[in-house]
Amino acid sequence: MRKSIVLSMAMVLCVLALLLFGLAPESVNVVSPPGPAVLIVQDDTGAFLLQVKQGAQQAASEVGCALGQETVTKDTLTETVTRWEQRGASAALLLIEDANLREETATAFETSGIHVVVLRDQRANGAYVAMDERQVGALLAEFAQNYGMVYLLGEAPQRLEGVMDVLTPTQAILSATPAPEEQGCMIALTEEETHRLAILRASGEVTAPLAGMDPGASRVAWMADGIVDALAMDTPYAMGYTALKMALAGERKACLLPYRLVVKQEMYTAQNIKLMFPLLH
Amino acid sequence: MSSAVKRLGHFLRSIRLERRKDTGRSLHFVLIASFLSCMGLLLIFVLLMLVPRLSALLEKNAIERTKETVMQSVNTVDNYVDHLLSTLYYATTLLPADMDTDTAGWMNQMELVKRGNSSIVAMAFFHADGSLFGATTGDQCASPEQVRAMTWFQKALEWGGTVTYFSKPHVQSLFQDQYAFVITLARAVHYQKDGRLTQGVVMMDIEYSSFSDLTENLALGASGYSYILSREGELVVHPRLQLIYHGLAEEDLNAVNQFLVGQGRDRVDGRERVLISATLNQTRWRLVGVAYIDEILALQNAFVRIISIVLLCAAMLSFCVASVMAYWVTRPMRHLEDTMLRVEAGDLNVAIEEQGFREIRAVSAAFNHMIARIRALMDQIVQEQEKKRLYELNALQAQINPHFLYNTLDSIIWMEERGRSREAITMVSALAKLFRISISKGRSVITVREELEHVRNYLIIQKMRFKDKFTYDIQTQEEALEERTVKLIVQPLVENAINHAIDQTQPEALHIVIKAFLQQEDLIFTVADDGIGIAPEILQNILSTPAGRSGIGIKNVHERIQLTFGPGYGLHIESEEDEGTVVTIRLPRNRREESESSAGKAKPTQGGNA
Repeated sequence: MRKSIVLSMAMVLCVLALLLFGLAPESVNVVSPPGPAVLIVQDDTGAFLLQVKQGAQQAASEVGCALGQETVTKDTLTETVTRWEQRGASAALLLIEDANLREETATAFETSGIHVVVLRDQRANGAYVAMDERQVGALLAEFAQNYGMVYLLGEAPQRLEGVMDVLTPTQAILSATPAPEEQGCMIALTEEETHRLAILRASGEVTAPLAGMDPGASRVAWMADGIVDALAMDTPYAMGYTALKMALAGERKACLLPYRLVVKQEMYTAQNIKLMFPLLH
Repeated sequence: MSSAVKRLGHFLRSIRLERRKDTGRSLHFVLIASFLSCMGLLLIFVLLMLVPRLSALLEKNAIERTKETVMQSVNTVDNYVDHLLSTLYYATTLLPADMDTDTAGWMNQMELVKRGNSSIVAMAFFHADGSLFGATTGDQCASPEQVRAMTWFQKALEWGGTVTYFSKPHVQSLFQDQYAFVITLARAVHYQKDGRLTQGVVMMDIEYSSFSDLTENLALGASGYSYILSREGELVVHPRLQLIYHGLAEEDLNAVNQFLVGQGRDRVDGRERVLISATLNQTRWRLVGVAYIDEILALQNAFVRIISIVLLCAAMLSFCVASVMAYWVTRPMRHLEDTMLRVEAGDLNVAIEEQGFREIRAVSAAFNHMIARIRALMDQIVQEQEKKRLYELNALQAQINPHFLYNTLDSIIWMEERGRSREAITMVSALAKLFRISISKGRSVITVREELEHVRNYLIIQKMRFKDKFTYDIQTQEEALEERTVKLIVQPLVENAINHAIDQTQPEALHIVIKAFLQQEDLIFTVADDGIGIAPEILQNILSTPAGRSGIGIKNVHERIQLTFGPGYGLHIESEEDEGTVVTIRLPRNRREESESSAGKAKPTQGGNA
């Protein structure tokens, strides 16, 4: 008899606990957003940086993370790292051309417990997101597959390997700039070579179709005018997005993103807007 | 009295044994179990029947609300498109009658229209050959060939002005260095030129973001979103369009392509989604709302959780109430049970407090009445037993008188006949004393002193009768004289010794020694003789056989003592043939009250020979 009374009292306590905790407003079941991320640059790299930042911003917004940007030099490195450490930064993306400064910055951030992902350049024993240089060679070579003669111009060993992977033995490969009347397809393996060949083609000194790397600001005009037939475009938007995802996840791996080939017929499509018109949105 | 109590105790024990055999459930248990069973059934009914139905209803309601949200968005987009079409139509109505000369007027009008709608990037009118009639932007326009190559131009002419063409999102490249990410609306317009009906195309570029803004704030839960598909099923607007184009995200269109309008479901990354598709009126695009089931049903889940908790709490509280109620209801009954157990143990001095419910009070009252009745009956039995005992005692005492009186009177007559008046007087005197003590004012208990005085008188009488056939000696302990004893218990033993112990063949006189003394808490009388003793076969049954050879003697004395004091007291006889007999009487000490003892105090008698 007394047991049932004791049990009753215990149940009353349980009821109170249930009502107190069970009916309490449900806490928002959202993982708390990570600390802010920072995009560290050496200098303003224009449209490329803009797209990297847009991609990173997209990734940050998906997890409710703030994204900042800092320009770093050797002199301000320590101060910058300390400041972001104090802000509780969780990730740092490094878009730094100077290899020494890049490594120092990466080491400093990692020492502070902040995940680092290097953009565009590769880093030994570290996380990075870069473009697949061998893949771009293959991409350009695929464009030239229907030509019996291919002019490979520019010095880029990895891209060259990619080209050679795709070109068939029946295709003649030359490394000299074609004469105006010569048939075939030009493959410019570097941005500079693409620029040079485009100018030659615009002046009529060469007439062979040109597939090359992104020549920069002139890309739209040259492609619209038919001076370049195909351009292998890097994808800084995807680079920024992927890098921040990796950094927030703490992944220490290498990620190679593919280039995309844009031809004149597709240059105005929505799919290529970020590639051809990085400032449009 | 003791036998009556024994019988009642036996009866109650039999009841208890019967009750202990009953291993059924207690009333307390039955009450709680019944209450909980009802509550459990109700709980099961609610959880199995009502909650699922309620959940389904809430789910349906949540999906309907999502559908309404999507339909509102469709209406918003439709309204916006209607507005754009009105603007486009307005642009066509403003086209001048003379298409060759009045270009500037139309362009000014269009500029005003464009300023009124910030999402309009450019407006232009082209002749059928692709040549520009006029545009809101003064930049250099693409060549007619390039214009004619554009899809929106071709589609507008193809559709002949009946329907406005909406292009896919694209970068507009009509004007030199004027790139914009737009959706182009184009419509063929018929007009007179050179006296002939000809076609032209009026176009309007709308910022892509104006469309995406219309759908991006759709309230479809935390993760829900919406997107627009072209009539060909390609993505037109999507919040992650660039990620999809870059291969970093994907939109599974398989499920949504299974139906044009309505709703469907699919599962992505383990999460179930509801897809609601509706067609936009003018564009024939489809707006698809995507809502995650777990988010739109959050309210339902919370409701079910609350219902479950409340039901659980109600069940637990019901158990508490049932326990307390059962305790409250059964407490008087348990009290009743406890009291009955006390009665069962022999305690009749109990009464139950009449409390609780009316029925319980009635039972308690009946029980109290029954106990009172039993008590009265017990008292009645006790009184009757007491009377019976007194009757038996008096009857036993009364048995002494006829034998002895007869013999004594016979002796007195004999003495008078022989002129022995002196001795007769002594005998009569002794007889008078004997009877005075025998009567004792009706008391059945007298002092040891009186008892021994009675014996002495008896012996005086007998000595006169038997002359020198025996001698006697009475030895008493001083402390024992005031003890109380059942009267007339020693005299029969002395009488028995005189009657049976004297050996007529022997010349020696029988010697009788009577002692009275205390032994711890007992009072002891012994009557010893050196007579012929008792044969073992007689001795063995002497206290159990009816009065016979021993007359009214030993057995009656023994029974009287046991009747008064219990089986622990009475007579003990030791006898050897030709050696003698010692009869011991054991009684509990029962000292006289001080007042009584002081009144009747006498010196101890130290034996004597007549």
